[in-house]
Amino acid sequence: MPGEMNPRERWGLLLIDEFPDRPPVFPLITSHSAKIGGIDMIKYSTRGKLLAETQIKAQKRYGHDGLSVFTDVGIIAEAMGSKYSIREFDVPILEKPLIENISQIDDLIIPDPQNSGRLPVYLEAIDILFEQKGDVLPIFAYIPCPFTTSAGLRGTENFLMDTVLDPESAKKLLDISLKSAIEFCDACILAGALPIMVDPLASGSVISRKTYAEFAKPYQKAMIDYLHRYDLDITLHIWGYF
Amino acid sequence: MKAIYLDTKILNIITKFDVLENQLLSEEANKKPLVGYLCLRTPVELIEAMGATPIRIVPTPGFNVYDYGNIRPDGCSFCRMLPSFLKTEKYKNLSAIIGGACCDQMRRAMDTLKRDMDIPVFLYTAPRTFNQGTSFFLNEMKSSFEQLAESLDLEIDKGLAKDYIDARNKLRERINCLRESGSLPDSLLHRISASSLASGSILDLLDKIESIKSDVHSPKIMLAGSIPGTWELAEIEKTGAEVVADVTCMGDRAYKDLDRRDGDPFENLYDVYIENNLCPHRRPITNLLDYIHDLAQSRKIDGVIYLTLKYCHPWGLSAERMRKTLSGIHFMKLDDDLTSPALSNFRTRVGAFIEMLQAKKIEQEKRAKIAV
Amino acid sequence: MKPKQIDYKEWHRFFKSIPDDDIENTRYYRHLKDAEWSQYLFPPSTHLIYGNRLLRKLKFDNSQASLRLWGYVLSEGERIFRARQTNMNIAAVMGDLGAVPPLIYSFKNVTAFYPDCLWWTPFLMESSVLFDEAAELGIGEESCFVRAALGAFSKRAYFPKPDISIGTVGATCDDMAAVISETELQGNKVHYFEHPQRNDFATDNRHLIDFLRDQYRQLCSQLEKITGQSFSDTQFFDTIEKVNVLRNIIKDIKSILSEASLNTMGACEMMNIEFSALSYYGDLDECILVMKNIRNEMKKRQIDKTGYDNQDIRILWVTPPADLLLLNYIEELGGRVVGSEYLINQTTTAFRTEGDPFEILAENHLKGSLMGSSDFRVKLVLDELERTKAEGVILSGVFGSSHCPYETVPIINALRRKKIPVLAFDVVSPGKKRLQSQIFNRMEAFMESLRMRRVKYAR
Repeated sequence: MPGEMNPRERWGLLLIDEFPDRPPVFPLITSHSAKIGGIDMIKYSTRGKLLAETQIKAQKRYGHDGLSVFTDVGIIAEAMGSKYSIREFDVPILEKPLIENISQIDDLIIPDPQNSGRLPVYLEAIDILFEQKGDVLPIFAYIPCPFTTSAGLRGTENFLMDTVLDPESAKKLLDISLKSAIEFCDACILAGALPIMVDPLASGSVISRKTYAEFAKPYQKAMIDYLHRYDLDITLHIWGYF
Repeated sequence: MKAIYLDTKILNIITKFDVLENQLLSEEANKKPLVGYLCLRTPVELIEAMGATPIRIVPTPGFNVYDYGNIRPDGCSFCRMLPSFLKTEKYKNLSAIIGGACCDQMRRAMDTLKRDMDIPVFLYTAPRTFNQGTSFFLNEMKSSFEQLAESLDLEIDKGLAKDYIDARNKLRERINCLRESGSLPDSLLHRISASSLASGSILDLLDKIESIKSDVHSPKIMLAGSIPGTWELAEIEKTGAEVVADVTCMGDRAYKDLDRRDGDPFENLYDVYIENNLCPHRRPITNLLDYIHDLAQSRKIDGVIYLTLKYCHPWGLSAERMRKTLSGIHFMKLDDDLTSPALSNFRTRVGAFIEMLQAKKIEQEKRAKIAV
Repeated sequence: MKPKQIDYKEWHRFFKSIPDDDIENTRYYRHLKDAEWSQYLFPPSTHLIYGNRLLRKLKFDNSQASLRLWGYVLSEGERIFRARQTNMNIAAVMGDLGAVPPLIYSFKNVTAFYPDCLWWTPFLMESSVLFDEAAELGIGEESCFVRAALGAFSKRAYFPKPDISIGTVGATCDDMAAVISETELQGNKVHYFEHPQRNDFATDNRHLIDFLRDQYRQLCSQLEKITGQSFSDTQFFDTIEKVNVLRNIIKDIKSILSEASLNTMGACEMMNIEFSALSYYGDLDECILVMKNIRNEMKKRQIDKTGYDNQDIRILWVTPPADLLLLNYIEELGGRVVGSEYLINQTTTAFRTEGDPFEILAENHLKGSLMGSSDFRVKLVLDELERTKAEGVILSGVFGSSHCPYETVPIINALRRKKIPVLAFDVVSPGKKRLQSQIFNRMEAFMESLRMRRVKYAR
C-alpha cells in the first residue's frame, strides 16, 4: 500500500533516532526457519543456499523485519579446529574441543572465513539474502563473541577453570578468539550483513559478575569498539540470566 | 487514419461542415494569410483581428507516421508528429505559426519547428501558476502577436478584436447551450475546435444543422486526456455511447469562459486564454480537477474514457489523480500513439467498457421501474 | 600512495589505517559541538550494510580525500534528519537544480536538499521500491527516474517533512512538475516558482531578469515567514561569497581533471563533486572543506604527474547517468571522463558580489541548461568539448524524460558535424540486467572504435 514503510526503511529511521511508522519487529527466527522450509538441521547448518531459502520463507510467513543468519555459537571454534556434532533435529553441539593442552593455544591460527569450517555457509547465505532481499530487509549475522568461542575451543568447564587457575592462558585464548571474531565480522559485513554479537556463555547463569568483568566484557567491548569505528550499530545478545 | 462515422446524422453534419470549410479555405487561400496555432492558449481573435485566418494544428489524416524528424520516439507523439502534420494538404499554405508555451514538450517541439521550418514560428511563454506575473506574461503574449503581425505585414486592429471577441462569445454561449442539452455531438465539437471558419460562419451552420436528440438509454461518457487523434472519437461514438462531456483541448474546456468586451482586448483575451486556462500543466492542478468533477456531475456521466497519447506528461502522469477525483464513476484509461494506432485493441476495450455501462444502465432502469 | 581505484573490500581494510583523530574530527554541522552523530568519515562498506548495494560493484578513488567525499555524500539523508532534530528549518527544492539554494542558505539555521536527487537512490540500493511506490501513485515508467522523489515523499522515510517545498515549474521538466503536483496533493505544501522560457536568440533578456527577481522576492517572503527571520543583505552576500568559493573550487577541479597528464580522479567522484553545487549536500561550510580537500589531492597528483593507469581515451559525458556503474565501466574500458554537461550550468559560474540580491540570483538562474532551446544545450556541449579536447562523447538519456527526446538528435548531429564519435543510450532501471548488458556491449564497442580511430589518425 502506498505510504507503508518496508523493514529497511523502518530500521533506517530508528537508527538515526527517528520514529518509523511502527517499531521494527524482530523475533530471533533462526533454526526455526528450517522447520518452515521443511529441511533438517544438518542441511540448515551446512548449506548456505538452503539456510537463505528457509529464512526467506519464514520471513514471508511471519512478516518480521529482518533476516537472520545463524546456525550455532560454535561456528568460529569449529573453524579453528574444534569438532562439532551436526545433528538432524537440533543445533550443532561441541563434540571434542580442540585445546586439550594449554600449550596448543600458541598453534592456533585465525581462520579464513572463505574456507574454514562452516564459516563459508554463513557467507553464502548472507550473499544470497543480500542479493535477493537486501534492499527491503536488513540481514543480521550472529557472531559468537570471544568468551563463547574460547569455551568452544577449550571445553566450557576447562575454560572456566582456566579463568581461575590460569588466567593468562585464558586471556591468550580470548585474544586470538577476538581476532578470529573480528575477521569473521569483516567477512560478514563485506557480504552485506550487520553483525549481532552473541555470547551465551557470558551470561549470569554461567559466570559471576567478576569473571564477566575480567574475561568477557573487555573482549565484547573490543569487538564493539572495532565495529563502532565503522559506524555500525551493534546488538549484543546474551541468553540466560544476566 | 480517417474517422469513419456510422451514424448518418453525424456523418451528414460533418460532411456539411467540411464542405463549408473547404470552400472558405479555397476562397481565402489567396486573400488572407493562414496562421497555424497550437493549443488552447492562443487567442484566435487576435489572429482574426490582424486580418489573418487562424487554423488549429491538430492530428490530420494522411500524415506520414515515419516523418518525425529530430525527435526521439519517446517524445509525445503529437509533438513528434507536428512536422509531419504540417506537410499535409491542410497546412501546406501556412504563412506562420504561433503558440503559447504550455507543456515542456510542446515548447521544445515549437523550438524544433523554429529551427526546421521556412515560415516564422512564434512561441510566447505562458504561466504555469495562477495569478502570477500577469503583466510579464501579458507582455510576452502581446509582443509575440505584434511580431507575428509584423512578419505578415499586418497590424492588429483593436476594434476588430472586440468584434471577434463578441462573435466568439456568442459561439461559446451557443455551444455550451447545445452541449448541455446533448444536441451537439462531440465529433462536431472537435471539428469546430479545429476549424478555420469565423465564429459567425460556424453559428450560421449550427442554425442550419438539424439538432441531434440525446438518447436517454445511451451511456453518457466523459472524454478526457490528450488531444485525440483522427479516429478515436468516431470509434467511441460508433459503440452507441454519447460523449456528453469532453475535457480534452478540443472539447468543452475550449468554450467554458466568456470574454469581457469592455476594456483592453489584449487583457481580456489574456484572462480567458492564458490566466483561466485549465490545462493539466497548470499548478495547482486542483483547479482542473474541480472543473472536471463539476462537469462530470452536471452532465451526469456514466463513465470516463481517459485517453492519453504516449509520453504526454501532463495528462499521462495525472491519470491516477483524475481517477481518484472521479471516484465512484467508471474509469477506463487508454494509451494511444499517433504513429502506430492500435485500432483493434481500442475497439475491443472501448466496446467492452461501453457494453458494461449499457448493461448497468439497463439494470438501473429495471430497478427504477420496479420501484415505481 | 599511488592513485588507483579500489573496491569496497579494499577500502574496508584500508580504513583500519585511517587515524582515529581524523575519524573523530571529520564532522558536519560543526556549529553543533556536542553532536555525537555528526561524524561521517566511514568507508563504503558501512553504507553498503544499510542498503546501498551498488557499492559492492563500484570502484572508488583510494585517497582519504575521496573517502571523505563519499562519506559526506552518502550521509546526506541522515544529515537532513539531524537538521530537523536540531531545530533547523528544512527546504525541499525541486526542479531548478541549484539556482535557488543560495537564497535559502542566506537565512540562518536553514538547510536545503533536492528530492530530485533521490533519483540515484534506486540505483544505489539496486531496488525498485521507490519506483514501485511512485507507480502506485500513478507515475510509472513513462516518466523519468525523478519519480523516485514521489516515492520518497510518500514513504516518509528518506527525509523529514520539509518546512517549505519549492517547486519550479515552467520551462523545466514536466515529469518533475507532475511529481511536484502529486506531492502537493498528498499534503505537502508547495511554493511554486515560475521558470520562464529563455529566448536564446534574444540579445536582451532584461524582462526575464525582472520577472525572476520578482519570483525570488516572493520566495524570500515565504522564507521569512518560515524562519521568522528578516532577509539580510549582509547574510546574503556572506553566503554568496561562500557559494562562489565552492563554485570556483569545482571549476579548478574540473580544470585539473582535463589538463593533468593522467586521470587524477574517478568519474563517480567527479559527479558527486559537481552535484555538490546544487544544495551543498546540506552543509555549505563542510561542503567547501570537503571540496578543498579533493582539490588539494588532485592538484598534488597533477604536479606529481600521478594518476590512474590505463585510462587514456578522453571522454565527454553528457547528461548525468543515474547508474554510477556506467561511469565506472567506461573507466574499466580505458576511458577517462575529462568533462561533462550535467544539466546544471546554473551552478557553474560565480555570482556578482554587488548589487540587488534578487537580481543577482535572477541573472544566475537565467543560465539554466534546460530553460531555453536545445541549441543552447548543444552549445554547452560543444564548448565543453573544445575545453576538454575529448575524443568521444557519451550521451546517457532517460526514457520518458521531457528534454531527452528533443535534445538527443541535435546534440548528435552537432557532434557528427565536428566528426566526433558519439554513443547515445538510455540508462535502464535497476534490475534490468539484460537491458543493461546491451549498454555495456555498446560501450565496449564504442571504446574499441575510439582506439581504432587513434590508430587510424596516427597513421
